[in-house]
Amino acid sequence: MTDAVVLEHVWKLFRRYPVRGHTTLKDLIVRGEWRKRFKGQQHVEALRDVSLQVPQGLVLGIIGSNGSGKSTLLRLVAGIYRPSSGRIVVAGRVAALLHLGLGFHPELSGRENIIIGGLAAGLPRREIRRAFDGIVEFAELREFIDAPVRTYSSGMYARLAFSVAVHVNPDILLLDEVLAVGDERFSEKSKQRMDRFKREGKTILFVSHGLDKVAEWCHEAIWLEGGRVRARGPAEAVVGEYRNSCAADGGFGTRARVRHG
Amino acid sequence: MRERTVLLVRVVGAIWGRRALTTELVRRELKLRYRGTVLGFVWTMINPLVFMVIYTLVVTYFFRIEIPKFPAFVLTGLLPWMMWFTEAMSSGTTCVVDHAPFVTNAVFPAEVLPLVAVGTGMMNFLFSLPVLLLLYVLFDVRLSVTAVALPLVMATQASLLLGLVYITATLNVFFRDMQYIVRHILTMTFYLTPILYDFARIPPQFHWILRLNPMTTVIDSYRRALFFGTWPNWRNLGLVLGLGAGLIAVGMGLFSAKKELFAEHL
Ligand SMILES: Nc1ncnc2c1ncn2[C@@H]1O[C@H](COP(=O)(O)OP(=O)(O)O)[C@@H](O)[C@H]1O
Ligand SMILES: [Mg+2]
Repeated sequence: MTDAVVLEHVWKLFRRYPVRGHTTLKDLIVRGEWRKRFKGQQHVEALRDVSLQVPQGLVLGIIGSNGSGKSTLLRLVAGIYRPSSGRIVVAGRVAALLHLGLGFHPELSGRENIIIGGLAAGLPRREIRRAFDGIVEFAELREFIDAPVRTYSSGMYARLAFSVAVHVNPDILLLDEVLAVGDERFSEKSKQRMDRFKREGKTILFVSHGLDKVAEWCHEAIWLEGGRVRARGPAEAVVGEYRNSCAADGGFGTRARVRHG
Repeated sequence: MRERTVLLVRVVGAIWGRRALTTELVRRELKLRYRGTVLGFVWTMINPLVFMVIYTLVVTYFFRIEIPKFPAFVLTGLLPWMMWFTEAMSSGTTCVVDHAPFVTNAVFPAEVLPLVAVGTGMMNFLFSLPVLLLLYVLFDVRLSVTAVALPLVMATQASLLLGLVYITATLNVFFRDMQYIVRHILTMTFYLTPILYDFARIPPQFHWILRLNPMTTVIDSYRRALFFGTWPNWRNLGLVLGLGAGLIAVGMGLFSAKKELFAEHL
């Protein structure tokens, strides 16, 4: 079976500084940021030497504590970020639901966003037209589809994002904690849709803190820690291992310890 | 060098593959600006018309410089400058930043954005041409056969703009001052471009200064082809077209080399 996603020795570094926002010329000249930019700069190593093969049709769970690099990994696969070093090969059409607020233009209506999103994904106009009603129907946004997306509630937004992602007929689906949003009924509906994708043999990368869901639903899982793959294997085994380690830390000990200095 | 060529071919291919997206985005920009009404377009047209009136007043009545049919003369230069050049330069410089929600989306091909900015400006300019023709009728300016050079002059302006916008749009992601710098340069360049005056009437020893600005040739060509009914200076126009092509190669190369860093900086 061929691999849908391959990562070879992937590193991703982020600059530690740009917390203040973007750099201005004043920073470059007056504050000497120029030097900082090119040498002696500190980096966050979000991913360290990650190698990974995901065969077609695999549902891979990705677990790990906050800041372990899960979202970064998905963004690299989505092509939003470029690896600092290493290689990523992705075979097939990707749909990504990375986090709330990504992908839609707030000033445009739901309709325009769907059309532009579809064209951006490389779908021909005729295919978008065909899928359009299905998308609106699934998202249950018929009355709101011509309102600007900024007027949507976060639940409506999530419904639209999910609906678009599953209707572009992706080969590879990237999900980052999204099933948690939306009301009970929609979450049930989206679960069914995900099950269908799984049955159809789509490749899915699924980031979640819902460990039970990962253990039950994913074929395999990886556990990221500090940007490295600490374990990979059958989902249940990896989740078990991760749970044990958390328990040994005293629940969310790692985080608590940081907080108390 | 070969790598560069491959890169360029890939960018052009990606853009060609998304031409439906490009047209859709241009249509949306225009709709947003005009809101589908006639009045919307009138508002956009008012700007160059007001300037036309003011400059006519200043140049012909205050300065008493004799240029026959001055309103038609000046509008021929004002329209490609205001409706297209400055418009596309400013919206093009901020295009990546303005479309942050799309650019941070997984599949969005950011390389179409500069093209959308330049294309929107061009449509803007085309829509304004009937107003220019109306003025020509009023001032009895006859179009001659040289008007067929218009598409070529427009192509030259488009290539120049595209090359510049790929560069400024990339820089603006990393240094937001770029948009202000561009705005100031545009204001200054206005006077260094033969829009208010006729290039042929400038003392020849200053021609080289004006020619440093590639828009000089472009505006002069519009004016010759449409207003004076003479052919553009082909050699100069060819040089600017070549410059534009070179800038596009450099600009697209820069843009696609930095593209994957955009999301981190938006
Ligand atoms: N755009 C960014 N700029 C700087 N640092 C970042 C950026 N994105 C993520 N990081 C850092 O990279 C590390 C991994 O983050 P992330 O992938 O979001 O972790 P997770 O999703 O597992 O919580 C964190 O230390 C985070 O602060
Ligand atoms: Mg995350």
